[in-house]
Amino acid sequence: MKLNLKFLYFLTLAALAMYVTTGPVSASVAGPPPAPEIFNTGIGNTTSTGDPSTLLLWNSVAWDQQYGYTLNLSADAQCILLSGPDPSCAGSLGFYFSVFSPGNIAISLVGTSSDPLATGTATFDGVTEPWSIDGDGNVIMAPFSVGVSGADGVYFGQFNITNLAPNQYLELPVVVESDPPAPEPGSALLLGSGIALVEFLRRKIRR
Amino acid sequence: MARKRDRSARTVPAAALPPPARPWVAWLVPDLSLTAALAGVVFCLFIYDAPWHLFGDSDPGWHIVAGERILATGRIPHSDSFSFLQTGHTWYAHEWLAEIAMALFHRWQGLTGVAFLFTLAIGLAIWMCFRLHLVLGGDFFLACLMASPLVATARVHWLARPHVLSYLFLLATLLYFERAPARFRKRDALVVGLGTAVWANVHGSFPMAMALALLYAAGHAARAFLWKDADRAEERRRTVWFLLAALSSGLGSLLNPYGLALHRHLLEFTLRPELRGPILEWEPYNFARAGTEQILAAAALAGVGALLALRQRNLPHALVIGFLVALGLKSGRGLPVLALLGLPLANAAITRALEAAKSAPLRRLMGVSAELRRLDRDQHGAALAALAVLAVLAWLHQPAVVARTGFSPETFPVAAYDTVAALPESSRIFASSMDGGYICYRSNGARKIWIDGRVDYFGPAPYRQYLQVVRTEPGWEDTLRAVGFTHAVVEVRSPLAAALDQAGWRQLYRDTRFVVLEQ
Repeated sequence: MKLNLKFLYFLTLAALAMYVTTGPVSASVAGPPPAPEIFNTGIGNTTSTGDPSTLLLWNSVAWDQQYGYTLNLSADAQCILLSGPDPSCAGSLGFYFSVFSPGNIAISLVGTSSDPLATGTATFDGVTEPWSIDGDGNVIMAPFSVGVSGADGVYFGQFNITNLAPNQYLELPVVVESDPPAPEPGSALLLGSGIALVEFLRRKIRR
Repeated sequence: MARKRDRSARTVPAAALPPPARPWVAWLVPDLSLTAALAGVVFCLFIYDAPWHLFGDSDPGWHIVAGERILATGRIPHSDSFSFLQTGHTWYAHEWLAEIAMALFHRWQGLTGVAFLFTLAIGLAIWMCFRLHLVLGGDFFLACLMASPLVATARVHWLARPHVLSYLFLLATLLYFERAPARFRKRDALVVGLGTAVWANVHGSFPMAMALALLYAAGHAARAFLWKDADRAEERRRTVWFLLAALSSGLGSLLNPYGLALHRHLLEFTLRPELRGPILEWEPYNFARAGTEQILAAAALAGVGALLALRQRNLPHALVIGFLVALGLKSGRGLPVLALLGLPLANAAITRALEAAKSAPLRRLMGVSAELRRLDRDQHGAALAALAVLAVLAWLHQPAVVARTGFSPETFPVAAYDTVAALPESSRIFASSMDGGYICYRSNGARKIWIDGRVDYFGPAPYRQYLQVVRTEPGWEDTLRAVGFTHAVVEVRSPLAAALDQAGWRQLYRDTRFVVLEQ
């Protein structure tokens, strides 16, 4: 019995060492990198760089702070004619994110415009993709993926309008998403186990 | 050999104890606490990658330089000499003792020495945490099971900074309180007072000693009133003990270079979140992040422990765990403290609840656990611990490890620094607080920086200015002009880099990460 206990004791210590060095905590550090988490920390500068006779007006900029694996952001742009005939407005909207556990981040646009000739680009972390408007007034842009690497940090992007006709508008829902997150049920299971344990102990003690 | 003190041992008849092991075996064979500490150190070095991650922010840089200054001048500074920004505030270098230790280890072995110091501190903290499990009468198996949530939660804030040393003081305080003798003696006043005095010069968390003593006192005082069957005389005596401990701690904490002014400074900084500015580590931890299940488990276990302690009428423990949970939920910095202190307290409460259960298999399991605890008292593995310390030092000196010990070129302007060093002394460099701390370290404080991580000295304003400029928000150019920046060290992909380029700033250096610009 004594020998068995000693064996069990050292077995437990060995298991403890293995548990700490190769167990779930190690897997969370050394395992496959988790999906990048995106923290939208707000918008950058907005500019209107067209002819002085027009003004690009950025409205309804809904880029409030969000956090997660998929961010749905939006902004509207309107070209205001100030004086005389003018070909178009131009300008940009900067945005930036804090990204944790860098990996692949996909940027896609699903906006609409009243100007079928509107054009521009979307840039994120140095990658630029042009967009245009189709016959139904929808923004067409091939969704692009950016592999942000290196340390956690702030990553920058910019939405550019190179051509928007006077008195026309552009709606810009932008979807920024990363790989799917780790399943959350694990946390729920842990919490549930805790509650079940308390209930179990309560009943045992009451008896 | 003398058996280790263990509360549970009091319930075991002496005749039932197995004969003690031979002394040399006891010195070589690790016990539970040492096994956990060694496993924690292995995790820290090999999996957490301590040589790199401990320097994940630049605060170790200015801490080391501050320590070097104190060693060189023999004086503890009251004003800032690292920044060209004169805030008009006193700089409380209240962590001067930790900074001296960091500087001495840095003189000895460079950043490898600093990594060695903090790896040892992390191992010692885990060892003390497991000692606390046993002193509190926690279950052997439960302590083992809690090891993973403990390490996962503690590592959230493993950095080469003085707060890691404060974990040792926190654990020592709780260990001492749990072994509080019947009457408050002069020796207790000296130990608590002098202990807090040292703590107050190592890290700003020293008011926790007083807070813990007051929570214990409140718990004992309330217990006497809430339950009729409580031993009121005993509770009153314990209340007085902890009130005197709090008083000793408070008086001891005044033994710092700034006296009561330091307390006022820290109180204001703690109670007014707006003074902390946009510093993420003070924000609540984001539990939505992937891989946080272990941290959630630690918080849940602590919560269960608090409820059970309350049910067991152990108000002091319930209050302490509740306080730690609140601390952990309020700020990511509090999570390691919750794990290191809260899990042993929770284990004690859960163990008591399990002991009261009438399930036969459970009682058998508890019996086996108690037997293992008795076996555990026969060894300590001190010689093995000494060998492990030497092994850690030897491993840190491996050329491949030395090469990547320190501040990462992915995060800090490591290669760009040579260009920064060649700038005129009068240069005013726009750089983030992270880069500022790094430049301070590389120049040994000779190059005046704008801001570093000392938010309690600079206040939140310059950090907000930094965000305004780096995001090129309206008015950013005015801010640059107002501060009189002549140079900038910014990330290549930052829109500021392009904006400064457009504004006519000249590029002096560029790599894949950083660009150095001159107006």
